[in-house]
Amino acid sequence: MSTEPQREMPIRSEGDIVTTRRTVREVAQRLGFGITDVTRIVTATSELARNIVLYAGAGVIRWRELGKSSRVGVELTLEDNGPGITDIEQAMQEGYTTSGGLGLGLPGTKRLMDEFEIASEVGRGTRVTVRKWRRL
Amino acid sequence: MQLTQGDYGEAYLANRLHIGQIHQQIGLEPRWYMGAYSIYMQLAFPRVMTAFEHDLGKGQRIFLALLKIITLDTELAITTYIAASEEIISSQSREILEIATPVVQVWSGVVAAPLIGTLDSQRAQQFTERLLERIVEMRASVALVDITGVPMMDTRTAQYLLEAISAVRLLGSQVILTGVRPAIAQTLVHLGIDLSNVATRPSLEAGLRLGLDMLELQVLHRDGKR
Amino acid sequence: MAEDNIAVIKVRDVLMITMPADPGDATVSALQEKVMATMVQTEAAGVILDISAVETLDSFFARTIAETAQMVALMGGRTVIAGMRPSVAITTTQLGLTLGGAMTALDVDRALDMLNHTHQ
Repeated sequence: MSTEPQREMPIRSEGDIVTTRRTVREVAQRLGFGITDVTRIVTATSELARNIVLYAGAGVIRWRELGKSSRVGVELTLEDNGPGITDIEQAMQEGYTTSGGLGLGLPGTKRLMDEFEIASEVGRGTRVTVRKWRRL
Repeated sequence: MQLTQGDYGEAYLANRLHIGQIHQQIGLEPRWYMGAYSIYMQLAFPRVMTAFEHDLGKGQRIFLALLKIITLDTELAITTYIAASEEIISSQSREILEIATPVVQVWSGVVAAPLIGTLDSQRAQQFTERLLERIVEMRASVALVDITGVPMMDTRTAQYLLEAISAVRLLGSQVILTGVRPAIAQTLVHLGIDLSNVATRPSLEAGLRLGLDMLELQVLHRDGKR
Repeated sequence: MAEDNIAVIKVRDVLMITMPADPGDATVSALQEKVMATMVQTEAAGVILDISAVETLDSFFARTIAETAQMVALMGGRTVIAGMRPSVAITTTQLGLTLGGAMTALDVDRALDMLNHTHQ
């Protein structure tokens, strides 16, 4: 597995959400993802970045190109030192209600990506890593 | 013989990769390439050792250097060969998927998409993308999704179908699920799939009739009767 | 500054707004404010939100659309979202987002037809 260098960007405000989206869009497009997958990746990023702004105040996004023989992929890690998630299992079960209720939207985000990892500790912070591989 | 020219920078790599691509195009498999190098090495070894019999250490180093270059060369050529082959396979796969999921316009504003075979994640995504793109392209308010050719229904397939239907709705079009055979209907009910929001019809024809109805169109016999 | 991105136009008795490609939160919020303000002024029968240029529709945008549709309904109007892109429709569905009471149409033309029908 080739290890590409990680790039990173801070997420400190609402305004950073759209900047993050644009950056990730460029990365996904450059890697050759189809338009629907680019949209999935960007939207998932937007949700995760929004969580950081809403619940932690500030955090960071790191991204990396993945290469495994003939496969190409992207890895995004969004991390913060916020309050952390009390019950991850519950967070992973909640879905959006029809009224678009608040919540972390993690199950939906997980559906958009191929791989989803989350680590969180109350009082210390949360880290979500997602990956998507380019379809053949 | 560029092999021993001495400069193994980017230009060299590019050249070897290009040769690998050519080999793929003309159908020259790696084993011939490797076989040739193997013979080359077998012929070269005694010659090198004889030439350097007064300094076997140097002879060894030279031979090893030769081995290194040849290994790099083979690696590059094989890598390109494999990559080029995979390119062909994946483009053929895409073509097959496109042919297997046609979306045709059956009337102004109505498209029909027959689903044939089983749906896996990739096929489902491909189908949905294609269906939506064609709906936009043909400005179709109604999409007939025919599942006559779907041999069996399970939760996953039903889920893919429901997602596709929801997506079409978001675009602003209606979906009519056609070709719902009794066996499939039974399975859907047993699986607890909620199709109360989806218009269904047993045949494509019945679906088309409903679709035209939705568009407030009517087919009349020339003598005026329906 | 964000409000400059969106103009609310009155076409017959309907309000039309065209959204830019990747509206930030400020622009999305401004959308709601502008719609409400103009609804009060003009007593329009409906609102058409043209999102044919929009590349990303996240939960904030979806929620704002749903809320706006609800507010418009309370003022006696209907809301139609026009021109959603296939990639956006697929992603929105997969994310599990809904647009509340907002209707959807393939394009602005059909959206206008839709609102005329309902009005009658």
